[in-house]
Amino acid sequence: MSSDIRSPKPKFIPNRGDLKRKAVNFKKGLELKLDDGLRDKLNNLVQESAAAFLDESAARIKALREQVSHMPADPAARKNLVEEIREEAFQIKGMGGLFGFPLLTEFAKSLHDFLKETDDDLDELQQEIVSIHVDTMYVVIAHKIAGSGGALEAQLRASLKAAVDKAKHKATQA
Amino acid sequence: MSEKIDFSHVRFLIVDNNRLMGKLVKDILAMLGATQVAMARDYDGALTMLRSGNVDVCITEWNLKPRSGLELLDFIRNDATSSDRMLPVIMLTANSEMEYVVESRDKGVTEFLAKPFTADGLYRRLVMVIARPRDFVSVKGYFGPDRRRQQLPFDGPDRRDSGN
Repeated sequence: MSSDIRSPKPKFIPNRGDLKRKAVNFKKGLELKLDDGLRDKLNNLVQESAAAFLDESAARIKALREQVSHMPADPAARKNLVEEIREEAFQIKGMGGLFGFPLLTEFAKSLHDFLKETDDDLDELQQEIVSIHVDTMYVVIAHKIAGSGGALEAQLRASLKAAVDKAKHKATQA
Repeated sequence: MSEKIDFSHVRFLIVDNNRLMGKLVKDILAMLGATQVAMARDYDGALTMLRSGNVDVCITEWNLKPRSGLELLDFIRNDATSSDRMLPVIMLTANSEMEYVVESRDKGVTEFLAKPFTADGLYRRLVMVIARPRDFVSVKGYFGPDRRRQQLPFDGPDRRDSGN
C-alpha cells in the first residue's frame, strides 16, 4: 500500500526541467506543432494496423458468439465468460474508432456500459442483450463497416435498438 | 528560430495489456524518433521498469489487471519507494468518461488522452509533458502537477469519432 508522504501545507515544487533540457532545443528534432507530412505518415501507420485489428477482433468476437449462445451452467465459468466479454468490449471501444471503425466503438461502448451495471451472473434477458450486441459487432467487423453516419450505419443502430427493446419487452411479458 | 523536440534520448514506458495497442503506440513513438521504448503488460511489469529508474515518460492504460493504471499512478506519486514522484504520466485509456478524467487528475496524472485517440492528440500530450512541464504541488490529499494551467487554443480533434 502507498504510504502518505504528502505535505500537510501546500507546497509548490518547481519542475526540475531535466526532461525538457534533454529533449528540447533549437537545432534538431520535430516542430512542436505536428506538420501535415508527419501527421499523414502517422495516420498511415495507424491504418496499417487496422487489418490486424479486424482479424484479431473478428476471431475473438466469433469465439464469444459461440460461447454466448451456449452459456455455461457452471457459475464460475459464466462469471469468467462475462468478464471476458466485458474486457473485449472495453478493448474494442478503445480501438474501433482509432482504426476507422467508429460504429464498432459505439456498439462496444454500449455493451461495456451495459455490463458495467450488471453483476457477473446474467439473467436470461441480460444474456440476450449481450448476445445481440456481440452479433451486431460481428456484423460490423465482418462487413468492415467503416463509417458512422450513413444509411447502413443508421440501420444497424436501429436494428440493435429494436432487438434490445424486443428482448426487454419479451422479458416483461414472461 | 523555433523550439524543436528531439525524442531520441527520451526513455518511454508503455503500459498496456493489449498487445496491438501497445505495439501501435510504440510504432508511433518510433516514427517520432524515439529509440528507447520499454513495454509492460501489467502493474507489476511496469513497477520493475520504474524501479530501474530508466523511465522519463510513462504512458499507461487505466484498465490493467489485477491492479490498475490508476494504482500505478498512485504508486508513482505517493509511494515512498517511487524512484521519481514527478515522472510525467499520460493516462491513455478507453475509460473515456468524465469521471475517469477527474479521478486521474485528482491522483496527479500529467495528461489524459481518451481512446480512440488521434496521433495528433498523442503528439500534443507528449509535447506538453516534455516541452511544457508543470510545477508540482504537495498538499494534504494531493501530490501532483499544478492543476492550474494555461488554456491554449486548439482547433483540431484529440479523439477519433467514438460515437458518443
